[in-house]
Amino acid sequence: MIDHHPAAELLLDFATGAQPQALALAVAGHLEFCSACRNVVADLEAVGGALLETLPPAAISEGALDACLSRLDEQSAGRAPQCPCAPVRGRVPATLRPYLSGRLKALPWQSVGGFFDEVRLPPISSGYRVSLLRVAPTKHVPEHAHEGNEYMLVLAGGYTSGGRHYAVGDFSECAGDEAHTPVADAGEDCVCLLVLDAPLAFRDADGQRIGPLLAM
Amino acid sequence: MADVSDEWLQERIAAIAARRDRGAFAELFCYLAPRLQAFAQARGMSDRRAAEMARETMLLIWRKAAEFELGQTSPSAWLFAIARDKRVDLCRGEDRAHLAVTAPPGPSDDAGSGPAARGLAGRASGAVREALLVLDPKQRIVLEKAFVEDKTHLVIAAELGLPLDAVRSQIRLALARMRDALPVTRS
Repeated sequence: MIDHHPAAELLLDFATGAQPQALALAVAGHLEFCSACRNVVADLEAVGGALLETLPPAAISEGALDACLSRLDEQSAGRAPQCPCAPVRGRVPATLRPYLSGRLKALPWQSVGGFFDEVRLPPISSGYRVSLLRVAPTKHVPEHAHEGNEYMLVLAGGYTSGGRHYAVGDFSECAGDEAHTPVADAGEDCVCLLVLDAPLAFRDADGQRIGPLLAM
Repeated sequence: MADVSDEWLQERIAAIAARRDRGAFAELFCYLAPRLQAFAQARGMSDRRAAEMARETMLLIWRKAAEFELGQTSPSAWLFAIARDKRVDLCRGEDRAHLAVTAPPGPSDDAGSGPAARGLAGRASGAVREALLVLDPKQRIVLEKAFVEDKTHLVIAAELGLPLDAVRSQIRLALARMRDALPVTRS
């Protein structure tokens, strides 16, 4: 059961295509786990279809149809259609596969100051930092606030923050001055997709050490 | 060309998928291409780029017709998703192919999925178009800026001088009102 979902405006921005790709990745990752939000996005796409069809038609040039017909036989340069598949426990979700694939355990993890591990994805949208975090059981991410927005999607394990528990598939959005100290569940590593649009503001000495390692 | 029904769209997509029917494609083109061009122009694309966007989207529809599955979504929503992805590709150079999530309900899934349980997505697009008419002008403007002009909720809030919470509630209200406005059908 998924308890924490992206806010309505994030699903809207995803469905319209206006969302920067880095953030759309986190939303799409959540959709892999959550049929309720998939249904909302499907509804929004139906609204998009209705709005597209009610647009006053533009005047198209006379040869437009013939130009298009003459290109129908061109070979498609496109890739094979994506196989619709449910997320597989312990593996990178399908939406991240252009960047990372395989088993979560086998990714090129790098330690961040001994507190947690990270795999940084290549730059996807300007102004965004996208990475996977892995926090060992019962360990925590040092207390921090946010200069911008922090979006997290749980891919394995779970964590507790601010009295709320986040399990696989849960999505969270944090912003602003309210500091938090996420603590991983006992029992297994917690792996999350982390999308930031500004640096984290760490509070204590531990945080000061790792802050520069998470620079934008 | 006036509005068409879902059946009309489905028949043409199916004819393209089944037998590469150029006549069906030409009919679809005459209906959709002018609207796709308007969709691109609303985003601020030049006439030349908008024509390119309409053409490229039509070519994608030709190639992807076999992927359309009735029951997953309405033809109108399917066509919108192709047009949206092409516009994002042409305007921002981003490939959304891997973001198309079509996962079937899995073990971690919530109950109540499937087209039958869906609101607007499983419904005839004519009914969805009519449901648009029940919206307040404010709600309609938010949706048009979002879908047609390709603006984020942040940009929309700034343009309308609304707090973010108000934009969020307009989105929720708009969807709820449209779902309520759909004619009752047997499930």
